[in-house]
Amino acid sequence: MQVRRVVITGLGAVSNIGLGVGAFAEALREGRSGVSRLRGPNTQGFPFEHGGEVHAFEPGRWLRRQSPAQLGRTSQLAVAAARMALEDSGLDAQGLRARRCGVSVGTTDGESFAGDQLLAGWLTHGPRALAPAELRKLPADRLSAAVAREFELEGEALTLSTACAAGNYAIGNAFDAIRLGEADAMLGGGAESMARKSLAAFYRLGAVAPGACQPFDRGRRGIVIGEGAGMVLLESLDSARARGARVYAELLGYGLSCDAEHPVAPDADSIAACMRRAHANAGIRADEVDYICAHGTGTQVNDAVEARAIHAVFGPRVPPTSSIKSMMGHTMGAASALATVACALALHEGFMPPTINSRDPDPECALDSVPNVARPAALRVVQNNAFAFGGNNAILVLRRPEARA
Amino acid sequence: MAADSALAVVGWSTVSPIGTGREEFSRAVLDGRCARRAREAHAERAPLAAACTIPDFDVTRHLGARGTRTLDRTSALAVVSTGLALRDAGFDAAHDGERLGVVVGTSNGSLRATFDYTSDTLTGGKPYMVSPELFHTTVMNCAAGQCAIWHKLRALNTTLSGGRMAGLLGLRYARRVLLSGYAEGLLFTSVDEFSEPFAWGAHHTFLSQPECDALLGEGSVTLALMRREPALAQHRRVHAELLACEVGLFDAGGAGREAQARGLAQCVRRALEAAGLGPRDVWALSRRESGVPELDRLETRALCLALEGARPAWGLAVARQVGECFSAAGAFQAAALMALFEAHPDEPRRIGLVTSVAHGGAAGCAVLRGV
Repeated sequence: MQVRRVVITGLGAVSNIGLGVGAFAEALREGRSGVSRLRGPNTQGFPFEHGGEVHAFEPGRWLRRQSPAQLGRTSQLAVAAARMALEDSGLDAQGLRARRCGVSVGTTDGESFAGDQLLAGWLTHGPRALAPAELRKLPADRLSAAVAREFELEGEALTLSTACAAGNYAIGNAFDAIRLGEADAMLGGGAESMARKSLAAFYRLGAVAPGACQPFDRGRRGIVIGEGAGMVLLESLDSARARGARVYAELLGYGLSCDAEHPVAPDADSIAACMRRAHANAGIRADEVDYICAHGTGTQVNDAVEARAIHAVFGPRVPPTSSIKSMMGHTMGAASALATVACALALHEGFMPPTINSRDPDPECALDSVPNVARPAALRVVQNNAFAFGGNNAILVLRRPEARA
Repeated sequence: MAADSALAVVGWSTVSPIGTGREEFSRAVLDGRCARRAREAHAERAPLAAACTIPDFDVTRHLGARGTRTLDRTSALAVVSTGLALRDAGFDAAHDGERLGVVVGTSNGSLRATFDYTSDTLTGGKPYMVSPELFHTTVMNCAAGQCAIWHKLRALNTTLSGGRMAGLLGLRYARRVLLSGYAEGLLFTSVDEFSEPFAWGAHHTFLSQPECDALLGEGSVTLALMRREPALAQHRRVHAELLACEVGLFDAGGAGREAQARGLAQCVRRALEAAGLGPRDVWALSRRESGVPELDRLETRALCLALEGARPAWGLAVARQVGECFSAAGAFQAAALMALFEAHPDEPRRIGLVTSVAHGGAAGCAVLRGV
């Protein structure tokens, strides 16, 4: 089988720092924070006040073939981001169908808000009163099906629920499908909406920052929980060239690993192995990586372990490493998908997004975290890290498109 | 699918309502054993007269007492069947753990664990009065993480939320990652547990509809998979080859779900074509049929359309024995087919179809060959 090359030709971002790729790119350059006081009904009562809610999202603006009332919020976010990516690419739905396009969406908790509502109803009125229409919104497989339905795509629709690494898993899966010739285009990404369960759980684990999210800072005290969706349109290079598409980046490959040690604590050796596999699969050497978009959640343990793994793999040549979670908070299943969008923009426009809220970089991490201010840089190869509870890790490697001969 | 893209099932096992382990399950399937168990009526319980639950599942019997206390039932079922399949395949995780991976097919993870946990956030004095040590059981990738931890599988770890289609979607994903080289061996485990929240959800969305006589079930099935070439080169026992697997998403509306029926027929045709076969080559059907009338009828219609009058020698409907097992259903269908293959070793061309359909319009077909 001849190896097909895969490129990114469309970007969609529904985020608390901007809606749509233009606003998202501008926000990344500015180092804008999308964190605000929590307002949603399922977010009240916690001892922390801030989160990364997406306030300005109007689903009716983006959903054309489905009514927002039919879908939970997470599905709405996914569909909106997919529509943005499609419009950004210059293709239309018919063009996707002609390319046997499939859909791959990652999430941590799926329609958790719908679940919260149903459960509250159960506790108040009993299980007999549950509404079938609300129950039908709940299954996580609806996320990818909703995206497929929006564009009348009849191929495979797959929801990957690999927690905080789900975006990379979904985009990686989309990459494989094109590579193997199953499809000529794929929509891949991740989506998440605010969930009571996550707010409660992370707080009880001691993982929620009382103030800002400060990845790689000595004073970092945890995550800020956020929501959003990121989607990319992937195409075979042939398909992109044939239609004269604007190519943001080439996806060279990705690496997978599993810690197999502990349900929540990350493992530096396994993460380092994942990086090495990503480089090998992408056909690059470590010293070719110009920038790392970190997992960088802002917890003491993640950032320390991630930094240790980076040093183990890169030796003396550690590239600048920033975390966009400093801006958006941890958007869970959407995080690495939004990071993929950020990486594509970084390569296309030539800049590294900053780690904001940086006051006192941790010498133990010993990283150039691109503190506070975005930095112009002619990037050629970038790496996008994603790790998750359960120990399932996925790292993507992207490259600036080659100049056409 | 070209010859070098076939997968080999080099081992398999199950924890099911009709038996645990490949041999016990196979005997039970071929004997026609059904796991229907009456349920006592109770205010809190969903109004189901019966269900196919696994009697007396005791995880400590399989894994010991240490470390199993906080395992939720979904994860426990998955970990046990994965271990049984690992042994059946003769995979050596101590030696090859870096090259072995696990993929788990689920619906929404453990509904019971999520229900209990989220209830605590709503009924406790404060919304965060929840147990930190149980949080991981409520994340959908918990079972996969536990399978890796218990069996030291490090190549890759993926969870997919496929609902009724998890079996076929998982086979496609497994094929993709094996052909792409992320692992040399893969344990594909699909699992769903019976619970009251699950039962109420099913009651409200389809079980209470007229003519529906489905029974809910539960269970975990694990297939140990490799690319066919290395499996043969290593002289492994091959139970079946996966020759093709096609899925699609179709319009679920209209009288008789006609578009979805045609869509499933299209998947069957494409799968047979990819396998280099035709309708007359099909020896056995392992149907999705579980007693949900509109889905069963559309499956029948689709097979009629696709098989063009050919009449396979065998028809299985394992959900009538183990119940409607959602995420685990597709793998149960494949397991039942392999039990049938093994019972007829002298039959020269054992080609079987696993078909699946879901309420939302998804449909698919896998083609397996007995070896």
